[in-house]
Amino acid sequence: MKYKINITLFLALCALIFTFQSCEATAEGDTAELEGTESENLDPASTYACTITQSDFAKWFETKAITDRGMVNAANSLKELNSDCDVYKWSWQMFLWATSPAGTGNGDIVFNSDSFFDLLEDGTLVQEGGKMTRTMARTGNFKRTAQAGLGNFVFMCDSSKLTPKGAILYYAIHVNDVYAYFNTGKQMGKFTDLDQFPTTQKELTQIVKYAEDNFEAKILDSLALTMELKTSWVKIDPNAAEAKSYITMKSEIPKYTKVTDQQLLWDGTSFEKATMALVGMHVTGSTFGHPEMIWATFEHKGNVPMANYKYYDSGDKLVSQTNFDDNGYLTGDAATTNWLFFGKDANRVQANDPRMSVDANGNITAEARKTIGATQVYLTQPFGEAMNNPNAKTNTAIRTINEYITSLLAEGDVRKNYIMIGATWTSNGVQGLPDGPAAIVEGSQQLANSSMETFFQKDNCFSCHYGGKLAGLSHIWSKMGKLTEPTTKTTPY
Amino acid sequence: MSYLDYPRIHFSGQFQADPSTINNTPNNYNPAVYPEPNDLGEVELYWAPLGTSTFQFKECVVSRVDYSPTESATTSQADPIIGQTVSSVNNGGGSKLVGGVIVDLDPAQQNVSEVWGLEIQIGRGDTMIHGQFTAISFNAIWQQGQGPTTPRSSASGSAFYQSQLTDLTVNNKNSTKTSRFLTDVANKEALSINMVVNAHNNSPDTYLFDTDTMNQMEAEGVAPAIIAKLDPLKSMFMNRDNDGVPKSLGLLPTKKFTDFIMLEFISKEEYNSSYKTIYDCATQDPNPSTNCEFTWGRIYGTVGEAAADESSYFVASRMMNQTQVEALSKGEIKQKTSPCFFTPFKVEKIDGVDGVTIIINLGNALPTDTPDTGFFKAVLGKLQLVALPGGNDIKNSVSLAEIDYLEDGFMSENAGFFTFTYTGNLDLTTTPLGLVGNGLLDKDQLLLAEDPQGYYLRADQFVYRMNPGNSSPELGENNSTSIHAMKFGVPVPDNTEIKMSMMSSAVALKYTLGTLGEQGTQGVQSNISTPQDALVINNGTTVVKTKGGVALFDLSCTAPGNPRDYVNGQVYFLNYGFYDSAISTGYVQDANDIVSVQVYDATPKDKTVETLQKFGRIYKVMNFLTKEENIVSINYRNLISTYLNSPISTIKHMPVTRDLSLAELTEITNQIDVWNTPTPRN
Repeated sequence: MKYKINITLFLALCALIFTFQSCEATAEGDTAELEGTESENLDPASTYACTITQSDFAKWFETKAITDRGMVNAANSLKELNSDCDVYKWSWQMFLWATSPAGTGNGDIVFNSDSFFDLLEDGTLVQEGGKMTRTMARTGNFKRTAQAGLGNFVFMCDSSKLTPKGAILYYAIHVNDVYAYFNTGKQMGKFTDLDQFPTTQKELTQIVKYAEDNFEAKILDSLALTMELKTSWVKIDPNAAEAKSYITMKSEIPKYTKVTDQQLLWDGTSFEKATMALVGMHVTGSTFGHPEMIWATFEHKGNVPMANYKYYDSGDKLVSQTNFDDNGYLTGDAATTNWLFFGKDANRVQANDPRMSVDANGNITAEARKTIGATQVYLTQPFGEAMNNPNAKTNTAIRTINEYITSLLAEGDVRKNYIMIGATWTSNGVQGLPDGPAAIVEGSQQLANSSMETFFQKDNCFSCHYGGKLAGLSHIWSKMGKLTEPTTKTTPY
Repeated sequence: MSYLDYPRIHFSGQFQADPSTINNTPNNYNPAVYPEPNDLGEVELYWAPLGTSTFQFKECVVSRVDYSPTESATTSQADPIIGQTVSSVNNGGGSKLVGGVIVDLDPAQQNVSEVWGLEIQIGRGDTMIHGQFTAISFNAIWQQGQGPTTPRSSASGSAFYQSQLTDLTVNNKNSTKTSRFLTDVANKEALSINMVVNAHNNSPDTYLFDTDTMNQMEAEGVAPAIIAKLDPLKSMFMNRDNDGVPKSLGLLPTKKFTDFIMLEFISKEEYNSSYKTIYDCATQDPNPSTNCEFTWGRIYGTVGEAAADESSYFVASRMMNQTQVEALSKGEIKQKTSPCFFTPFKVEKIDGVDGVTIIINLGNALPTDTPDTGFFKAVLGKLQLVALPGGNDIKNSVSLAEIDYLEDGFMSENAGFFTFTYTGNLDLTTTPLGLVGNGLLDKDQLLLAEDPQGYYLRADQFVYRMNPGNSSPELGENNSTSIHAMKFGVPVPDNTEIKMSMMSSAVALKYTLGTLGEQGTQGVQSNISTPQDALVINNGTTVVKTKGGVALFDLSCTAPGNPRDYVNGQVYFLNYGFYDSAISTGYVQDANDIVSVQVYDATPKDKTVETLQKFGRIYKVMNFLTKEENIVSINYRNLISTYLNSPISTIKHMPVTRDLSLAELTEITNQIDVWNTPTPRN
């Protein structure tokens, strides 16, 4: 069975989180030089804005022109990132690269192409070196339902025009070839002088040479350095009009049997065919000076409303974005939006409630005093702003770069429907080691993706990803099996 | 059947116990010691104030399989289970937490550290067995390190966890060779597991913030403004002395905590600009208490079959008890307690094997000089297994075998097991056994000896939490404890009388302050175990006759109030023993063979917010509860409620609610429900 990635065109989704305003982009240092009607809708740049010119954005594309579903090159991670805005742009470019068509002509996409491997659960309780394989398209049933964080919680969304009743969110993990060969090499006793993720040309060269010498493999897009992606998916009705705004994938998911209101059982073998929509993606990678990696996350803009927050407008005046009224109900534009994970009549005091969890066999059980069912979700920390230290500057920067890029993307490009929630890194480039300096977190201080850290939105990525330069930082590092056979094939699946 | 029988496997490696030490004293439960969230000048930090509660393994590997007294395997070619990793896992711990959690019963009873939510997997892939570890405290803790320079702390301690693995999953499909051990245990309901833990390094790296070091920081370029902001660190401390006076003001434990507290007072820019100099000046010479990394220690495990009707914790066996020996003390020969510790063993007739087989678990029995340095040869000397047909009179002992406790692999491969097949004329099934060593005073002395009449008893479950007014079978106001009594390894005759009594307040105070867990802490008051009538043993009938070798004691409780003010309820200790003086006279029992009971008050002591704040302070892992605005905000309430209401056996329940009474739990849950009731739309 072939995997199909269906990047569809979509022009008008449900109401946007962002209300575009007529303005001229006059960002400090990085003046937007927009052309055409897009520029008229963009937020003029406040002092704290993060912007990009159309010409610079075009350079991201392989053809140097902004085209519908055009192939975006991976960012050059060997290049130093000199500002927060540089980090946000790196994150966006990597997201657009990962979701670009793979150029194989069969609808494939980069994160499911020869540049990436999928890390599958193999059904054992401790991932038995989770099988490194490129065959997700052939065998790749989505089985991973447990969210990160204490509890193995499962997120089920409400029925809608797009999703059937009882739709569970599934997760997949992908690493690029630099990561995979680096990991295998370390397991084989290579790269003894490299105890952290590569950040320099010299380190990258070692990995590229190792892949060539031992696997006859040519690493594609090596300048991306090590990349780790986590994606979230939900079953949808492919015929629904809203489906066109999502990156989709045909797959198979476990077929559950409802035993009681408190339990869904899976026999471990039964699957059902499904069209899955991409609702979230973590984009994580090492860059020059950042072996701790940059941790960014993206969501479909129709997922959830954000809590109320503030940002700076074009006159650097602090303004409020009010999505909830004082009683916890949606208000303003947010109230007219068909959010995928938050109902129109839902109240935020009942939201983000972990209702069930999955055991090692894939069975789903309700938490105490609860029943199996959907959870209403909203983002408690807009753009990852810290609860006790709201940072409107970060909000402003991420909000504006989202506006710029989603506007600059060609009409019809499905990627216009995704936004960056935020990105985080450490100012001193360290990984939170017991004997090193403290990891000083920058960017989005409490970053979470509504579809992946639904119930743990208070933490920062580095709250859990710490304690080691490789295994402590990247939790999949020590769970991977070795690449054991040459993977020289260049033909697409 | 048990881990003492065949087949069994041994493994060894390291374990981590990383509890938060903020709850090591009742003093730290007092809200008054936290005038501000970051004002810790009155808080006793101890050695791991930011401990995570994690209990996990690393580098644990199966070293040996014994199928019978005459058949063993020590290579993966012989049995692919050899060399396999023994992993601590959990189902629900997220991706970072890879084990169970460890927690004490009460700040006044730290000698029963329980492990909850742990799953253990031996092997992986097609050669694997996985099971749920039944939560239990360690027992048989003693000071194993006995040399003159051994740390005077729990680092010198040794103990073991005795429990079961249940809900077993077995995978034995190796295409080259299947595991005979896995084949043998594949259809079992449960496995018996014994894990000896010792050499735990609880000596953190330390950093001194006093006038001298801070002057040095300033002299070496740290901005005076930063020095001034860090001034509160000078009043923080780890321990108080016996008079309650803080020791070593400004000495802070662990870099994790030091980073945390510095960033409470200075900005991240200030930290980045000065941390190197600050640490250059503040770092003290390391003084690890063992060879393991901080919070890690050694673990030696044995896993075997569990009989279907076997108790979860009690293992039917015989026991060699501590004796009194002669030893030099300050130049004089004095009577002392044996340097060795209680040792379980079995003597059994095995089909196909001539004679009887003696299986001894010495994993928690022999002393070391300092932790993790090998056994104390100068004390033990030549060690012999002896029969004691004439009771504890060494003159009448019969040497059975020499135990080479110094041989390579005695612990790392065999987990301290010694087996010996005896084909002589003595009936060892009814003859007491013992250990003789000649290290002390260069003469043979009896270091361990079985009770002359072969008696042995101990409780099965020995840690309880009880809530007056609640009918929960696990946590309610009524429960029961089973005392198992044996005679030469078989249940005592029916109607053997067992007594149980509660320690008085004075005795309880003396007991707990003498334990390894409580040593070095302050704040346990003389009103411990009061009121005495809040816990009732067996409706006042404190002597019970055995049936099938078991005496069952009912426990019931009423509300004790809060005699300790800011610590909920009270903790009680119950002694048990043989009632008949013909048995009890001369019977030697481990002083830690007691039943510990926490009785909570029937009503919440504080309002919900105060309760959550208290636990946010005590358990930094719950730091999202430390600031009031977070508590009343809506963001984490559902998560908190979910954790608090999770089954007590799951990882999610921990480490939050072991210290919460059910009354407090209900109050919090109800309050969160109220908070979560939406206001009608305008």
